Amino acid sequence: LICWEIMTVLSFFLIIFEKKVETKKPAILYFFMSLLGTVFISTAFFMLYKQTGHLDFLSFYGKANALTMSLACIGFAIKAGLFPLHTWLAEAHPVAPTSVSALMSGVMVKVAVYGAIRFLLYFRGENVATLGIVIMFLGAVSALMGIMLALSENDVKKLLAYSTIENMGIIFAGIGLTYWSLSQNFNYLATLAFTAVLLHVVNHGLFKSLMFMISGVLIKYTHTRNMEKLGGLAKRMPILAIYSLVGVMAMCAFPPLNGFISEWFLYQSLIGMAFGESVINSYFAILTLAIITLTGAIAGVTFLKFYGIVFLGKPRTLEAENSGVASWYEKLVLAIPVALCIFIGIFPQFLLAGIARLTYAVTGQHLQQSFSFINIENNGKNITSLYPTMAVVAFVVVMLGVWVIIKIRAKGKVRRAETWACGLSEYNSQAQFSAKALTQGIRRVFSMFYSTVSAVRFEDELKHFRRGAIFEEQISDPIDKYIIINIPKIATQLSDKFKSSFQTGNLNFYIASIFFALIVSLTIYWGLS
Amino acid sequence: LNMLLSFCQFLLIVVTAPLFVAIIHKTKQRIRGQKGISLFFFYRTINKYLKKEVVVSNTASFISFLVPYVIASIYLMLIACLPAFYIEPLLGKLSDIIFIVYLSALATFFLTLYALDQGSSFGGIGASREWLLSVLSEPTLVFVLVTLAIQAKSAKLETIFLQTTRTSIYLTVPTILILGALVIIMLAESSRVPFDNPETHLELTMSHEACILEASGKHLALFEVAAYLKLVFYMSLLCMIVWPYTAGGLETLFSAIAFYIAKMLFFCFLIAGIEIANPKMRLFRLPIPLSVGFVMSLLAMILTIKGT
Repeated sequence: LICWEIMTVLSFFLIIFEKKVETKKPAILYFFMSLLGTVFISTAFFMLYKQTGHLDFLSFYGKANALTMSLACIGFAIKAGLFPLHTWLAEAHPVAPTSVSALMSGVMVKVAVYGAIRFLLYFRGENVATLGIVIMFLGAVSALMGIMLALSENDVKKLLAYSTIENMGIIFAGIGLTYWSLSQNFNYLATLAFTAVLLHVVNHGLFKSLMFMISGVLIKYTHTRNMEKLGGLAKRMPILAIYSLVGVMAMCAFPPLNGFISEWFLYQSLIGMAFGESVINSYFAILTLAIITLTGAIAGVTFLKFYGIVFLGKPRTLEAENSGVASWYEKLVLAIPVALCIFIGIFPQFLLAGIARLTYAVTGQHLQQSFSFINIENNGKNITSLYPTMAVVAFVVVMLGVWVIIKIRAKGKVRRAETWACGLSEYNSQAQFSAKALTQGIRRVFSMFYSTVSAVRFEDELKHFRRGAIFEEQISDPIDKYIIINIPKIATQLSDKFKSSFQTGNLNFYIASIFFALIVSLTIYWGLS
Repeated sequence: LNMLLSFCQFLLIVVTAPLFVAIIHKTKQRIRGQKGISLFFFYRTINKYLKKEVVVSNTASFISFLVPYVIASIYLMLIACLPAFYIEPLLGKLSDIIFIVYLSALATFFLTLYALDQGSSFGGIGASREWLLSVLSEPTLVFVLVTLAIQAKSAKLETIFLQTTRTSIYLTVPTILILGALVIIMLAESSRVPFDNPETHLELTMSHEACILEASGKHLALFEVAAYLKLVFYMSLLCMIVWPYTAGGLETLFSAIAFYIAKMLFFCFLIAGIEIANPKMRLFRLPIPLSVGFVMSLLAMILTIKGT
């Protein structure tokens, strides 16, 4: 825990490393949110200490009661950036230098996951099924919220930070599900969900670091973080475009990459929960399933936007057109996470063998898997199985078949020409579809998730022929806009009220208050001991 | 022999796909009082596309050359997962429902990448609309498949339909609701009339067509084949839910094929009827039928959970 505080302080300095005014506010916000989390967590630890009289983890095993676990969960939820306390993450991660944000998103938030797993699964003393359901549901909601906000974001790094919120939500949904199924003694479900959690922790660390590093390279060579100013980079940096395609597909959890394997486990455990006898639990399972599916679909658009706007089409500005080209060592370094993403996606069995040992320690049940497939069985009945390697082989065979047939049958040559634009000769690269427009339909349908303020302004209001119009749109997180911003205001108001009612200037009243406080604290002390 | 039969099933579905699309088209034209196209019209179209040269945009990157093959292969794989009239599909082992959903989402992803690769606004419009429909219909598809999974206590298409073939003879209420939901998402995903118009390239109706506006020659042929396969995939899914009848061996194979084709024809006429009776909807009214589909699948799932 102390180490964690050191980490917070150090990362505070890492964020403000780039000496700019704009980085200070998010850094301070991060610092305070993290401290707030620590307050909850250390309270939980002190309660455990009071119970056991020791301070090492071994003696805490199976000792935590419901209150301790809830407190710890609130603390870890703040540290992991879970809904509704996620705003600091989206503020703090993008302003840090790229290498630091890769580290923060990839590794540091995972420490909160470790803590939550410690408390919920190892220190678990009481079984409160509701707590598991609540965590699962909050995780799912924060996944949806994270991806909805990522959808509306045009800043490359901010989009990735919101995607971290989404992935942490998915991980916490898995943790909640694991805790719930352990408390209900559904060990096979717990095995699935816990595998999903551990695998997604590894996967998210991989592909999020990859994407942050890629965005760092982009910023280095184009000097902008705004997507609307990029475009057409696939022709300037083809290798980087391929890497990025892998990263993006892994983040959308598309097969055959690593993200799919872990999300598959989560889906299967949710479906398994829906199979269960209890009707209420099945309802919770399908509710979560619906949210997670919607999240998955919206992740598709979000990263389509990321990839399509940044890498495809025509360059939107001169910076993008004349960008530098990534050097060979950058390509080499980035190849490592790319290769790992593909490897885990096609051959998950090597990683799963390690994870199976961990899940066995918690749930007491082995994951059914062999070299070629992963099997899910309940009471000896096969539910489903996944053949990641075979799927890739089948896909390659089918694609080769299609290619050969086309090669034999097709006669035409390939010719290059300008894109057809209704017969107009339009060379204005600003006339392409923009990132905002690409997601406008979905944002309009799900408008309750955003607080959007948009306006059209005309330059010369009074003339009949207006020369130009400016469209402005500001999209913000409703939680941020309505709650977080107002906290200082509410605090000031409350303390004002407090002041006016207590600081009356009457000495007798002060003495009475002190006496009253003494009695209250003595009562609490006796009550506790 | 089993492998051979599975392969025949796969081949038959793929080869007849343009025929069923032509039947829908012809029925519509006949109802309108036109003479109608030949039933083999779409085979000729594909053949014609294959002979033409490919014109690729100046802005296109490697994506444009890769995507047509990827999309056609994805839908071929999806078709190979279906036990339409023979009990063992070619890729039965891969027919996990989540895998299938994500595979079809992957196809949408690549299609829209292709659209954005051309650097014109049409592609962007198409991509945006395609994803709007996809985002709204994907939860419904998952719910439909999970409801079937709960009924059969298995999350694999192969086993699900093995189970339903043995058990269900009567159409139950959840099954009818599932059918309704599946018809709605079939129309949305394969861009049929209330959602999109497959017959025109007019800007207002475009979602799927706008994405492939720049494609030509063999690339366009692959996209067209993929679109036919997508429609046939959803229609076969419907066929397998209504009175499933799949052959276990050679003896019942021909009656199973005949029954399958009869059901496919029924759905062809149904789609043609829906397309004739409905106008194309405004884009922001589309969430209404899609949410009706979602509620239907939700009800089906709740009834199934209560029932088990």
